[in-house]
Amino acid sequence: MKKVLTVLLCMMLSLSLFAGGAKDTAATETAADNGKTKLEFWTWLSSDDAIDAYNQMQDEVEIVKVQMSHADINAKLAIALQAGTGAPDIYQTTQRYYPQFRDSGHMYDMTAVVSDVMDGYPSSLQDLVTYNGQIAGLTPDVSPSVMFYRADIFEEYGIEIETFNDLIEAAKILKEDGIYMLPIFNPAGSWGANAVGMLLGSREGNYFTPDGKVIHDNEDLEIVLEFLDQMVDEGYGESLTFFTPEFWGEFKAGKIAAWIMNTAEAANLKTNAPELSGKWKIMPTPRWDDKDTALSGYWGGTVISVTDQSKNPEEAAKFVKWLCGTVEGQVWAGKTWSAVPAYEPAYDDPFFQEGDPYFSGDNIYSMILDTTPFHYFDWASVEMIIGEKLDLMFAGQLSPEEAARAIEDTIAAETGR
Amino acid sequence: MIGTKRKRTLSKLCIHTILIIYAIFTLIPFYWMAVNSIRPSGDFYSRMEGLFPDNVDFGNYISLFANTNFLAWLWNSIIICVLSTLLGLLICSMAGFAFGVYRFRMKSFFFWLVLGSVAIPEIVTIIPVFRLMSDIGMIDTYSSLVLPYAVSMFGIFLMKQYIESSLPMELLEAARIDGIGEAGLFVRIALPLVKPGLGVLGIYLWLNAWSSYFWPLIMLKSQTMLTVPLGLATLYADPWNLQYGVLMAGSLISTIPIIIIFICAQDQFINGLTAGSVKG
Amino acid sequence: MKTHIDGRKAAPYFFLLPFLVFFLIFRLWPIVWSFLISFFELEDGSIASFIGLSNYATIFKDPTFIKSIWNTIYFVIVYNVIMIFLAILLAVFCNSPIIGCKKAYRAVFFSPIAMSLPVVAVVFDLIFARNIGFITSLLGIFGVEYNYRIFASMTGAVWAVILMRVWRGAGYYCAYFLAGLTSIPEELYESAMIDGANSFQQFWKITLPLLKPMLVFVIIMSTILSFQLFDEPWILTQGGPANSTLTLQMYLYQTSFLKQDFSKGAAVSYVMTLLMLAASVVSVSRQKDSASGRR
Repeated sequence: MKKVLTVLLCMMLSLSLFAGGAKDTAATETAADNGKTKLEFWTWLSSDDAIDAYNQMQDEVEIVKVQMSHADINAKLAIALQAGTGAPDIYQTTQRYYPQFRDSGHMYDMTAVVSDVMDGYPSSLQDLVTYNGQIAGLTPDVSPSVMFYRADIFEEYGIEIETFNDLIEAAKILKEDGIYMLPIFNPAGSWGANAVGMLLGSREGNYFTPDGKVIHDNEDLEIVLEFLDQMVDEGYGESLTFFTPEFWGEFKAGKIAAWIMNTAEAANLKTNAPELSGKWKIMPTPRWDDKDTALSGYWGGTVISVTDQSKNPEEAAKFVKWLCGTVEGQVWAGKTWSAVPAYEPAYDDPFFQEGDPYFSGDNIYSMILDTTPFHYFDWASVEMIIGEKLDLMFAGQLSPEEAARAIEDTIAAETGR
Repeated sequence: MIGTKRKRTLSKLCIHTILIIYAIFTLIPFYWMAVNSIRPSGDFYSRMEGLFPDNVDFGNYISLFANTNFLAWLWNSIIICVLSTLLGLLICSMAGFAFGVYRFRMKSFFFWLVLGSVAIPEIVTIIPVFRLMSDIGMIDTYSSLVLPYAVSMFGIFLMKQYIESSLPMELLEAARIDGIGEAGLFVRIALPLVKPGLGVLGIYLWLNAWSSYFWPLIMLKSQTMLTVPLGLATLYADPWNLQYGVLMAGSLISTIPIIIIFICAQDQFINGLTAGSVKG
Repeated sequence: MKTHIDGRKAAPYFFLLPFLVFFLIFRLWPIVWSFLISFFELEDGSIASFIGLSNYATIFKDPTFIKSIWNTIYFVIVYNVIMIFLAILLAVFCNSPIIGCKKAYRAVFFSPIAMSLPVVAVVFDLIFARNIGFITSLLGIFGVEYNYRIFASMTGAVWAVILMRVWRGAGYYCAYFLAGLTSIPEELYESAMIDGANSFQQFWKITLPLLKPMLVFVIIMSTILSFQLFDEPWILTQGGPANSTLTLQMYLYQTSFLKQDFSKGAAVSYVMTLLMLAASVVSVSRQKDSASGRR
């Protein structure tokens, strides 16, 4: 008899499922039902404060954040765009991956809403978000490189850095005391590939020409790879995997003297090694010895875009415009995820002129040099290829020159560019 | 006589030693998880002298319950597991009964179909199922997870073996003579006899649904609908806000339900497997 | 519900019905759909033009794909051999009539399966991490410095992934073997003892042959599940160093979702399906032989 009951129970439960009655058992909605239209926003950043600020300042819509890792957003969005259903109103992705989504033709054309703020962005970012003459997204942030360094260590050893060769010379001294000059992403993976891109950018180099052809016999690439290979081979830099606990552990333990990295990592240093406050300082990216001027490399930055599946695309675009194209929104972006403004008028705001006590009062925004446009094409494939060849180089199986050629040839073969 | 006794004690000692060593190996990750969940967040990336944290702090647990929807995740996971396990038990035991008891046309064709589809990776099926789910409005509902989980090819395979080995045909014939219908045979005779098998299958289905990540990632989207693995993933989604300590606390707590289920069901589980294995 | 005569003929189909409905919706039609799209170019999720076998030709020309196949096969074989050996060993010891606390051991061995795969990856990362990891702290007690970066070495990374899987799987499958062992009659061992067989001989002559049906079941199940290895290398190494931990499932994920080439992804998954089918057909037919051999 008990069995019969169990079976009946099973059947009832499955029936109730088919009737779709399961949904109302979900936990309580976090947002109050205030008659506002809800807009879904996919992001991996903890940007709650900025979103709350927007929700409170207008009565039309409520932005609901859905947080997922960046890779998960890409996978989910790819499926939703393919299936023609299930995409969010608004999503954030990295600038390097954005072209794939932009070129799908499934982005809402927000030209009418945002055209008046476009002058505030550098032309490379305007190009990035333009598809067929329409504006398909806006950039909330940019991610140029600076050099974070341990002022106490530099002072103790009398280190002064102006060029990349200075880094190597100083590294020789530090090495004797078991301190590494820089962290190097080895195994490279996608982070290593991006680091190479950033260093390339700091010497005006690129993987691609602006119209998307692979640059062959790329001397800039060779020089960057030689630098990285030397750092690893001679033990000047410490081989680490980015974003692992071990990585931050080494910073915390004071084993790393400097880091050429994108500005956004300032926030991570502060959170993960709070006791080093006041010991760090920031300087601009060093100059390559064969160049006359120093430049900032470009790590990435993000794009926020509205999909054509949104039922209220205009309202969604207004939020994107507020966050990316107003001084107020950019200050919020700076406060919540340490964004470096893409919208240039924002730099006049006092918020971006303050010094940071963690970095001994240095203002990170003033350490950013000019950048040259970096061109991203088929980045998902490109970054895998670069990552693999870098690993082979670090393992001693390829010389920097061979690695550079292998990268160029493989990218050309696989993407047909 | 004393020799054998000593030998026995010695081998007893040996066996215990081996088992204890393996048990320690098994528990190390749990221990490390527990240790990392009770360290203050500022200490997380510091070196630990010895195997016990210098400072103990339960902030991660507080923040798990106060700042995340952990209880909702747990609730969602439990609902999904219960429903898909029950539905899966029903479907698999029915199909297993059909395969195990009857001779019918295309039986072996169907059976090879079952075995063959075991080998299809989940990723392949996700786009068409996603489309279908959204056409019938099931995206972001429990049904979108429960229904696909409920068909387990392993489950059908297992139940077939089970029913073949533990259900005597004579018993069925006798019942038929007594005038019991085919549905009655299944409910009143077969199901009680294969109860241990249901226990095994239940644990298998539960584990499957409990640990699934990719399918719910695609099917669910509201923050309140997330299952435990998805919810925990939001804790390390943002590289600028990695909450490893909270993650450790959350995962430690979320392993408890499964371990409890196993402890309660372990005799059933082991006995269940035994009967099914007789014929292999 | 039904009359006997008609009922008996119709019954198997009635019992199969729910399964068939679910099977058609959630398995068969997606499988057919994706099989078809592997021969077509896709545009916006709909079929655009027939490209024949070109997807298959492309992937087999891709050295990364070939590498991922070998990596996966290597992992599947090494992992299953080690895991199953360990699981049987644990089951035999756990089943030994002379010891107590069996239930406690069983519960402990089973517990790793309760940890979800991404979390396993994070925890092992915390164990292996230099400076802050478990191994560093443990060796630190004895004054030994630990400096090995296991996920940075091509062989180390593979073995770390195998270790993680063995840790998670051995205890779980041990439960299956325990079940197989308890069905072996005690008398067989007693008579073997009288014949003077030592424990080792008993294991080879009695335990292993009688465990074979369960062994085959475990091999099929665990082979198919381990073919889909993804989470641990995805989180810990992204397939590196130099693709040494790139698995087929990761290649599939990269193709379908990062490069957004679903049609090529479908082709990859059919190659994967064929490999898994081959593995399970071999095991099932061997199981049939062994079953008929016993009768």
